[in-house]
Amino acid sequence: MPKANSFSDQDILMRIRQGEMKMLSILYDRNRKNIRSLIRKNNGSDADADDVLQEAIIVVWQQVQNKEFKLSAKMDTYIFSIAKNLWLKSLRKNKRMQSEGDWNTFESEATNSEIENENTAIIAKYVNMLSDACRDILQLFYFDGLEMDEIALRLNFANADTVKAKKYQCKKKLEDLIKRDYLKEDLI
Amino acid sequence: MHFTEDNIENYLLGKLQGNALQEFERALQSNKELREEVAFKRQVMEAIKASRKSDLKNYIQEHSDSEIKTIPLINRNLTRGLAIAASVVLVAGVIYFLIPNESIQKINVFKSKAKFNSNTTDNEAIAATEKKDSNVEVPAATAPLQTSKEDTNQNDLSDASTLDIYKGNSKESNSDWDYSLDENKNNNEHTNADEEHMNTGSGNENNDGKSVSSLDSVRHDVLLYDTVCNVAEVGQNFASSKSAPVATVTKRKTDTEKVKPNENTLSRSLKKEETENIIKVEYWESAIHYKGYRFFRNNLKLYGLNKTEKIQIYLIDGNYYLKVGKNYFALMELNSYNQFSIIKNKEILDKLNGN
Repeated sequence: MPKANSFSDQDILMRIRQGEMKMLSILYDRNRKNIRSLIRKNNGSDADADDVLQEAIIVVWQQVQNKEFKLSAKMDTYIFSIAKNLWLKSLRKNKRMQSEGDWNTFESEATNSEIENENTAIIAKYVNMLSDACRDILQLFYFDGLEMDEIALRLNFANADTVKAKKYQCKKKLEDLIKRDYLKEDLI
Repeated sequence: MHFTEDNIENYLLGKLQGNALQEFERALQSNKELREEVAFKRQVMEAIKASRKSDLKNYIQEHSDSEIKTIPLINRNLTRGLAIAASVVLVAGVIYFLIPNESIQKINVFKSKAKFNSNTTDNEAIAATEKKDSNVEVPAATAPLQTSKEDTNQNDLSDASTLDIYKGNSKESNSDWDYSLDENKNNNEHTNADEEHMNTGSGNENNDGKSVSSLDSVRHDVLLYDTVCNVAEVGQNFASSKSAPVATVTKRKTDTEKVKPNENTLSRSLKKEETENIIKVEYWESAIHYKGYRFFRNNLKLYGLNKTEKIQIYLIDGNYYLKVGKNYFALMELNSYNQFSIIKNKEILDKLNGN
C-alpha cells in the first residue's frame, strides 16, 4: 500500500472523484494522530476521535464528488476543521442533553430521532439485499450525488439512460421488498 | 392532482422550483396519501445514504492501520527524560566531590534544624529526625516484594493486614516482578542514585547511612496492591477468558514472610509468549486524587479506581480495552498518564460483549 504522505492533495481529489476508496484509509491514517490529539484535549476519547475523523472524511468524500468543489486550504487542514466542528456540535448536543432545563425537550427530540434511526436501520438492511449493481447505483445517486452519466462511466453502463432505467427498477424492487414485510405507515 | 414518482423524487432532492414547488407543497397539506408516500420515500432515501455511509466507514476501519505509531514520540520523551536525569546526577556528583563530606553533613543537619525549628546538636537533630521517621506515613510504594497466591480472596484490600507497609531499611527483594518504587533500599554506599534522591527531595542520607528526610510532609502516590490480569483476546478464546477471573494474584509479602524456595516469582514461571498476554495491574491511590491510568509495556497503573472493583482487559484488533463494572474504557499504550475514556462506539461494544 502506498504511503499516506505520498499523495498530493490534487491527487487525492482526483482519485476520490474517480471513486478510489483507498483514499479514505489514506486520509484516515494520516490525520488520525492529529484528530486524536484534538479530541483528547477537548474532553473526548480516542474512540470519539476515530468516529469524528471517519465522519469528517466521509463529509469530504461527499463534497469532493461535486464537480464545483474547490479545496481552498490543505486537505488535512480542511479535514481538521470539519472534525473540530463535528466534535463541537457533538459536545453542544451532549451539553444540551445534560442540561436539566432542556431535558424534556431533548427527550422528545431524542425519541423521535431514535425512531427514525431505527426505521432507517430496518430499511438499510433491505438495501443490502439488493444486487451489487442496484446497491451501487442507488448509493452513488443518493449519497455521492453523481449524475446518471457519471454513474454510467463509473459502473461501466452503456449510457445515462440505461442507468436511469436500472435505477428505477432497483428502487422499485427495494420498495417492494420493504412493503412485503412492513406497512408503509409503520416506517414513517 | 396526481404526482409522478419523478415529482416526488425531485421534491425530496430539492430540485422542484417555482410554481411546481408551490403546487406540490399545497398538495402535501391537503393530501394525506401523498404525505405518507413522500415520508416513506424520504425514509428509503435516508436508508440508502445510511447504507453507503456505513460501507465507507467499514472500508476505513478495515483498511486503516490498527495502531498509531507513537514510538518516535515516546523515544523523544524518553531521551529527554534520560538527559534530564543524567544532568541531575552529574550536577549532584560534581557537588559531592567538590564539597568536603563534613560540609555536606553540616548542610543536612542545618536542614534538619530548620525543619524542626530546634536548637539541638547535630546528633540530636538526627535522632529527632529518626524518631519522626518512625511515625511518618511511608508510602506503600516502598513495600517489599510479593509472593504469588492463587487465592484471590487473600488479597482482599479492605483487609489492612494484607497491605504491607514498608518501614525502615529491612526490605529485601528478589523478585523480577517487583515494580514498587524502592526509594529506601538498605544501602550504606553513597551511590549516584542516593545523590539524586538528595536533590529531588525523595529522602536524604548522611554519611552514616542514616535517613534524614527533609520532605516528610510531601505526600506520595500509594501503591495499594498489584495483580496480573490475563488479556481476553476477542474472537479467539474470548468465551473462556471472559468468564475467567483475574488469573493470578501476587500478594504483597509482609516483613515476616519468607519466600519459599518453590514459590518462584511469576515472571520466572511464565514463558515469554505467555507473558505477552498478561498485564501487570497496579492499583494506586493518588496523592492529588488523580483518576486515570498509565499503560506501558504490559504494565497498567490504575489511579483512583475502587480497589474492590473487578476488572477485565480485552484485546481487539490490536487495541486494549478495560472493563470496570459494566463500562468499557479504551487503554492507550503510552508512557504517560491518561484519563479514563469510556467506549461509546456501538461496534466496539458489540465486539466486547461478544455479540
